Amino acid sequence: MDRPYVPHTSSSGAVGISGRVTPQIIGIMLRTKGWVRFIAVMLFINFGITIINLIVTMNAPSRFGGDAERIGQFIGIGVALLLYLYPAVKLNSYASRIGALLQSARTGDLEAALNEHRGFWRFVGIVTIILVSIFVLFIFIGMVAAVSRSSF
Amino acid sequence: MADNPYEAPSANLSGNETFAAHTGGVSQGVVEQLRRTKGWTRFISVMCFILGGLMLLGAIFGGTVLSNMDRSVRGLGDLVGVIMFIYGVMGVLQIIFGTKLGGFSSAVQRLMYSARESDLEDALDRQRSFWVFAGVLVLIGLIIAILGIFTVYSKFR
Repeated sequence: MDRPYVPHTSSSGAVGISGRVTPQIIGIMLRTKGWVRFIAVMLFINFGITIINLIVTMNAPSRFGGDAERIGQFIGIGVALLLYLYPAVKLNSYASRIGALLQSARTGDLEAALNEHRGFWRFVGIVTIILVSIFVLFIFIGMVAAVSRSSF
Repeated sequence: MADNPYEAPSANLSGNETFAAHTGGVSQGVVEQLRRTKGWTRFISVMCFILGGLMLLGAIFGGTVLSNMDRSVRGLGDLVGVIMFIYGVMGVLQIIFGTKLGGFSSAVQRLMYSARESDLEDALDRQRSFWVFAGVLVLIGLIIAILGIFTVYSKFR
């Protein structure tokens, strides 16, 4: 040891007081990074295809006419932005943070990577809650409609 | 021993601080990030189980209905049978997704109580396993899509 007055660090700690991440964890994150980047790229491609598709349909002559179709297309762009772009950005950031962790092996970089990972799952959870709520709402509307029709 | 011997005694009610400070194990920041992820992954895991279970039930129920139909309707039933099979496979895949996410959530739960290196490795390895599975499925989907495009292109050329 170069400096005799440095504080003791535990060798058993994965990401302990020393602020360093063990090679085992580095190895796991290294094997995670490629797949996460791949899925992020696929989401970006999906987003691009959706946007191109919408632009093509918007420039095509309207089949049904009216503003309702245009509004529907804008909603489609919004949904594509929501469902593809945000998770793609989060996963891409996660992969990049893992890249930084592989370079530095610092606890702070592992925390930053896990923060992006958490952000992705929080988004997926919120979207799932919204979709389930819409589904339940439609079932409720359907039941109300069925009951009111049978009562007449 | 605290630096200030005259300070008031305090209790660690959350239990979170115990990790790095006393065991020299996993840092509190890492555990905190995983703890905040755990609730969402558990929720998605449960949703995967529900959706996968419903899809499997639908496939089994649809298959049973088809097998009880008379032969004149079964010609159409072949196509529906293929759809039911795909439905069943998707249900199984949903359940595998749910199992992997649930395993990650449980590993994080263990890590929160133990703060041991092995539990952190287990949790991170489970999320790696999830991403590998998802990536392989995306890859298979991509190959099927490319093959489908080539097939359609060759038919209409």
